[in-house]
Amino acid sequence: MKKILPIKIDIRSKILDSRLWLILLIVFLASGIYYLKSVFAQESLTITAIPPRLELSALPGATLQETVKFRNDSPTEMRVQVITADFIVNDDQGTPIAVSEEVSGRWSLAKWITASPKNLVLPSGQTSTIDLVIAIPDDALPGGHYAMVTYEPIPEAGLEAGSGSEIRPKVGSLIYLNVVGDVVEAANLKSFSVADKFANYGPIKLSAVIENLGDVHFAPKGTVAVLNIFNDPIAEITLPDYNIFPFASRVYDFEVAGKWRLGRYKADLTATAGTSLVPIHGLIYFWIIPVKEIGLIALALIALIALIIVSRRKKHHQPDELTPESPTLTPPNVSS
Amino acid sequence: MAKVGLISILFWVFQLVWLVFPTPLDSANLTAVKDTLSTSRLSYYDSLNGAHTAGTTIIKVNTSGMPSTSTANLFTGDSVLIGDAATATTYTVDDIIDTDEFQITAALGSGDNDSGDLVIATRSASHTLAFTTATAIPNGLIRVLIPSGANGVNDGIPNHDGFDFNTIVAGDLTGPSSGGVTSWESPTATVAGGTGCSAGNHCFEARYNGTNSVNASLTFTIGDGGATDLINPAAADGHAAGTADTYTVTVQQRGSMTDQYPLLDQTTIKVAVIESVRVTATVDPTITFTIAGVASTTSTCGISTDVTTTATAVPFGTMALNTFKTLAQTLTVSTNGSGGYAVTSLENDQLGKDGGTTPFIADSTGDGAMTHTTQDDWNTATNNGFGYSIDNDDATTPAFQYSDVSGGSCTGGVFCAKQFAANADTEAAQTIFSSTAVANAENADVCYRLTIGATQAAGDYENNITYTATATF
Repeated sequence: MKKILPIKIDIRSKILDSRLWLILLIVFLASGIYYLKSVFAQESLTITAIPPRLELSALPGATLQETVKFRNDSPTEMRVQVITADFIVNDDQGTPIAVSEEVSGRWSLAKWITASPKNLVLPSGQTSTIDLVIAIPDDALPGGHYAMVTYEPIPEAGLEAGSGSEIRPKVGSLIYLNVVGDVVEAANLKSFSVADKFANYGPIKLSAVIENLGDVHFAPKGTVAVLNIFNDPIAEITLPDYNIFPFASRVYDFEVAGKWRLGRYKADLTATAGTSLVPIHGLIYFWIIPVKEIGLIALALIALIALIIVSRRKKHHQPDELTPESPTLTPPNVSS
Repeated sequence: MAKVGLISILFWVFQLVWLVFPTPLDSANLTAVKDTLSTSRLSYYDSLNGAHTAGTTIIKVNTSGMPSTSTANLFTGDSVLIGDAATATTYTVDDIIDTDEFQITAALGSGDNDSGDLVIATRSASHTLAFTTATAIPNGLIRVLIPSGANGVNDGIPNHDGFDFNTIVAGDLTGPSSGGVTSWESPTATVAGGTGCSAGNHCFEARYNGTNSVNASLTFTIGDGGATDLINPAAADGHAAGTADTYTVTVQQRGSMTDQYPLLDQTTIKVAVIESVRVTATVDPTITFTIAGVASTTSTCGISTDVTTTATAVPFGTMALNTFKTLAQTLTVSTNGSGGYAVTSLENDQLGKDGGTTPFIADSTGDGAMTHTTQDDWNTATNNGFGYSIDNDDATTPAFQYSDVSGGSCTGGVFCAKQFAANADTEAAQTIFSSTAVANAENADVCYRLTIGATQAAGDYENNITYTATATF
């Protein structure tokens, strides 16, 4: 018995030891799970798409192979989903909006793109290359086709208990594909206006809205020349290099610098768009008249004229008083 | 015999005395001699590889048989002379394409496009010689000899075996000053092979009156540091790229004119010329988007935030009835793309119980007219629902701001807000902020606001909001 007892104690202690190890293992795993869960609950997340735009051109039936890149600039490893979607522009600021194929219609491109890989696991600071194979159908409509390749980090954990929003940031590259063929290129200057047709002072704000009525995007090139009443140029402003989505418009804002100006001015917008150099032309007139200052000058002139008239009238009356015969002007000792 | 022995002994005695007490030498080396070139870059000397089409801007050069054998040592912006001696024209290098091709900014002229026409880029350098005298010499001169090569030593074209004189005149020199002498005469420059200057070296002299001090530090500058400097050599025969070609420069101090300027002190040094290193770097066009949580009690959108957010979660937690809770995140964009960027937002749906569709917390209509496209004031907590506002830091064009007193239906300037566009309602994503130019960490805070009424069914309400940062079209 004396020999058995210690053995029993030993077995119990082993059981205790194994339980202790099990508990420690559970605690370790739990802390690991907690750690994994907390990894994504980071304070900031930074993602980079390279390049912001990719402009391509090809014939129907061609297959293109391109590469884009994604970089994880966050401090931790990241799982990322690569998403390809069509986009359109429906405002006049050139904001691309991801849409379904039904919405994008003849501008659709996403369905022709195969991105590989579709999922990435990227350590902090690393860049990954994504291959894009773009297979253009033989019957593809000539003109512009547009898609965005976006990168969306996959959250490791959802929201904790309670109400709230899960935030999904995405960054992406825009792909512009021009399918070569017979296309229509047309542009319309929807408006060309001045903020104030009768301004007191400069600077003067001008605005133009150019509409693309063609099958493919373009970036109009041209200038706005501002001339004074003598047709002398006082400013020439180059149109910013904005792309305009087919059947969308783009606003161009200009400013004619300089405060002090006087007279009627002419702003002449001359530009061309597309490969066929579609002409765009607009002409507006505006006035700059510093009314307050002119009023003050006029008042001063009136006052001056009045002063002159008064002084002349005074002079007109003075000869009677200043005649030599006048006793008041005769020196006392003249008679001697 | 005795006499012969005596004479022999006397001879050896004299020899011994002469050896023990030798006559003092009156020549020594100038010390601390150095020649500093304003640029040690080799000149470029190659020729057209085959006839070129007039009007082309792509130049292909020979890779053998000329001093230069590649486009190494040519740089964007360099002036390069192309053509034969009679009609050569100066062009500007626009870009280096590869090891044997480069691009010029203007079309190649019809007289400059024959096979073998020269392609020359000269690199001129002033030489600043500094040295210290070793001996006091009366009425002497300082002479500097710089190697010229054998042929065409003064034609303004780089040589492969020396420095071209480049028509330097006395006025392009700056002779030594001080050094203890009474006066210095104007320095002179003589091309190699000219009067008093042997072929093989150009001669530059500065004569002086009086006696120089020993250990006088002097400087002699050759070239005006501008248009008229010696032209550096092109690559020497057998030159290996990256290995310097060396040339021997001699600095002498000579005696007085009455003694025919005898050579007294002299030191030779080496100068080295080598190709410049072309450093290139590629900068990818990028767009970078950062989303960051904002701690509770942070002041933004005119309020103090109630709960800390992370990059991916906006946790309102448990809500009190008819009480605003406002949380925030910071969105930042950088891009070197010339067209700028746009950040848009889109929620999948309104806040649904456990992420479902119903029941849900509706997007707020603010104080009356708020939609996903029209902003409105939202200052009454009993106007329940979910919405957002923007506190711009330095983004170029925010869609609106919490403090707006105009635009949409906002007039109050306290908390001007909008609904998120909802994908479930087929609403188009809305711009949060944008720019039409490059951006360096432009950022704005998005402030999320929620208030619920007494009839809202209990539960956790969730949705997701996607922010997309892309270039503008």
